Amino acid sequence: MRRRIALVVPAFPKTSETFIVNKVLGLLELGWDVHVVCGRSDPAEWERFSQLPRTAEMRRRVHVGWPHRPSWRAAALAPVAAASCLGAAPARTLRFVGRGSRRYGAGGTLRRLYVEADLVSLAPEIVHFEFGALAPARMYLRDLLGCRIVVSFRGYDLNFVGLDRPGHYDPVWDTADGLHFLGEDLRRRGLRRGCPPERLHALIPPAIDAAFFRPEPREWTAPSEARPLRILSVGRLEWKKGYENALLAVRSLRGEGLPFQYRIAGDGDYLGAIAFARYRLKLEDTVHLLGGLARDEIRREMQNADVLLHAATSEGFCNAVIEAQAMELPVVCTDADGLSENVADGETGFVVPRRNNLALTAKLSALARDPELRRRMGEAGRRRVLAHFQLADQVAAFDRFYRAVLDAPASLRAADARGNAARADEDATLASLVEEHRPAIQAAGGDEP
Amino acid sequence: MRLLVVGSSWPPQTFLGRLLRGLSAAGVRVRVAFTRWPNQEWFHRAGLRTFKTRDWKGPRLLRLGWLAWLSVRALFVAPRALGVFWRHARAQNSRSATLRALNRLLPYAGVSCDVIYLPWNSAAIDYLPLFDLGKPVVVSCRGSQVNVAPHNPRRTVRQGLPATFEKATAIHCISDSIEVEATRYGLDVRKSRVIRPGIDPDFFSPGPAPEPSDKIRIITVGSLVWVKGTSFGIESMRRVLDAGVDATMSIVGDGPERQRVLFAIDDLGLRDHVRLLGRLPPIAVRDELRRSDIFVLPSLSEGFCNAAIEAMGCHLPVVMTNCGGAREGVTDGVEGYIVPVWDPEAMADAIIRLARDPELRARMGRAGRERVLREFTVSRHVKQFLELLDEVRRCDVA
Repeated sequence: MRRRIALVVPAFPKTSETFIVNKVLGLLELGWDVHVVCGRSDPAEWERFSQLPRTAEMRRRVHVGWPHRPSWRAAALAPVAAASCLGAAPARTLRFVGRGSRRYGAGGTLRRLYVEADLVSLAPEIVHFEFGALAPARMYLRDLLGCRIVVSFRGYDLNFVGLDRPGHYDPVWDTADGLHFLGEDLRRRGLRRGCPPERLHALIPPAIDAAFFRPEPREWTAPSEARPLRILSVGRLEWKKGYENALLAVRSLRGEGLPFQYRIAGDGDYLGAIAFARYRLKLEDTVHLLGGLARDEIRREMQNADVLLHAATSEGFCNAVIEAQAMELPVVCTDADGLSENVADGETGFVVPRRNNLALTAKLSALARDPELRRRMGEAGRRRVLAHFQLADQVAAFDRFYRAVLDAPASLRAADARGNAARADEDATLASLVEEHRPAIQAAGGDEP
Repeated sequence: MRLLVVGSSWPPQTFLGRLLRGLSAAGVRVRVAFTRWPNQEWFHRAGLRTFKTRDWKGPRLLRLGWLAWLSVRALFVAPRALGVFWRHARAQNSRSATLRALNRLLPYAGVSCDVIYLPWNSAAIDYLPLFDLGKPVVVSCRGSQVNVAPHNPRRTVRQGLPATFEKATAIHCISDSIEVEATRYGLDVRKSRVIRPGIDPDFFSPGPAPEPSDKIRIITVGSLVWVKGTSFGIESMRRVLDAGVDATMSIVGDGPERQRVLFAIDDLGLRDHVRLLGRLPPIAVRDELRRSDIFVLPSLSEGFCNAAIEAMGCHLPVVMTNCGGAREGVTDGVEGYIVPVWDPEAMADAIIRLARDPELRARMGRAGRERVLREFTVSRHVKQFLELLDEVRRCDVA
């Protein structure tokens, strides 16, 4: 029988989250019964995905949640939602209501049943929160639904969400069956925020379509007034991407007398700050703000560029940097989060400490003066992408990870309780802990497939 | 003299409140346009009055009915103004913009006052037809709307500024630097007057000597918006600690960049050294200043900087970036140090120099307060502003 898995995302499909679409299609191919549970699904977005079949079969796999607003509408629809759950999965619904009402009372349970109606009807073996921020408030699903829970951390969730609330992710650390991080750096951030090191996890980096991002042959030349060095940045205009440091870095290139052009592809609210920095640094004639570009335009920009600059202060992993490497473009980037795992320092580009524009300048200048080095790093970049960041490999890695999650013993709460106790330095015996956590352990035991 | 202030939101910024209170105390009858009733006692106690207008929200019928009433009223009390407003509103590029413009402007048909004061450039752009009512109009150039917004390709400020500069009777600039910047957008300097802001030196004064501490206490005050460069200030804090100086930093203010600031604190390992205090009322700001040793201003751009002046009033030496008008309050090496913008290393060097030399801190702190008493008191500010209003009133605008 195909094993059922539900991916929870805010919206599906979404151009900025193409990786979810690719993953769904890949897992379906590997024989998983994949469903997507989301809050919105925009028909116009469907049109933008040529790879997404517009069949009833595909649409059946996308579940848009019941409306939350206005609240009177939600209240009116709640009985309908509950009835549909009962019809679709009577045993699961009763279990949900039974366990829920002991914990949250009748009102709280009904509210949760309404929010989770799609998941209750689907009764998947695994619920995967694709964005860590979605998870902490909904970890009750494991007990109430009797499923395994996997949570992905992609950068924003660990770097920003709940930063001023210690223990924000404790429900996830205590309950999740498997954790997915984009890379080692993000996992370290997770550990710093309280993630138990022994927890089952997988490091699966993002992947791109290397067949689409395939370069045409190009000439590598030393920059001159007639043919300045072409620097490119691709990414949303937000402070995290460190554009100010990028601009400071390229300004120093001008001090070195190196002719260059800097193009920034992306759109966002930080435009005002970037435009101001460009003005203050007197770079208006050499720095071009291109606005948001479509995928094929990005490919064209990368084909025409000499080096990709990514000065981020905070960055999950960065698909644009993978795409640039696939396009045989050498990369100069910072060590923000996953970037140092994305780019092989000294091989496919240079990785320098974040917030250090002098280091960026030095590496840009080294690449500018050595066309042969650029060619070599570019080619190494494509080899790296083909070896590590291919879609098929990524889907295979998720396949293995999900199997591992399903195969792992479910009595995780006990192990966790021990872990927590050790952290809290409590001198408690295992027996008393087991006693204390008996209901939870029984619940977890009841989940054995 | 009757002064009508248009384009302020409730509550007004601290410095604007200070100016209005001062004018009222000097005998000017000040009416301030707000879309809600002022709910703080100081406003009424200062003798300030409200000119009530309405936001463009609520049930549609009610809004349209309100517009109809305003139009009929205007037809009788000020038909000429109605014509001016109507033409302006018709020129908007959508019907909803037209209705918004009418809702904004019609309350001012037939309004009685001697001078109209627009404390923001953006207000001047929004209320441009008020310049055609035959009354003198004063506009203030205060900061980012002249220094920053015109460079943003998505904003239309750059297109709007020239008409306001041309039509205004007088332009008030809060620093020489912003006056220079404004000339790029058509300001005629013969029309402009530089009046730098002022503070109440009796309020922002040094307190009893703070408890001695072996930690250097650094403070910065300002909204958490990108133009204040707070995260660059936090970077310099890291360098200060790395140089072996034991220091803590307090950040007073809140805003959209709170997340960036929290991330910088966490990412640079400064959780034990940097405190984010949020927005505080003036009295709490003063108490924080009195407990501190050095004030820093890592801004990327400023029209002037009231927060720095307030700190100087409390005997604090100031380390600030060379960011436009702010440096007109501080001379490098006298009341503090001026460092380049976007240069945390230079800022850290200046902080370290001050941290290692208590005598220098005390000397610069004293020099700062002396300068405030000499140049930046609110009484001087109000007096100069009154002179400007008097001159303007005598102008023949018609």
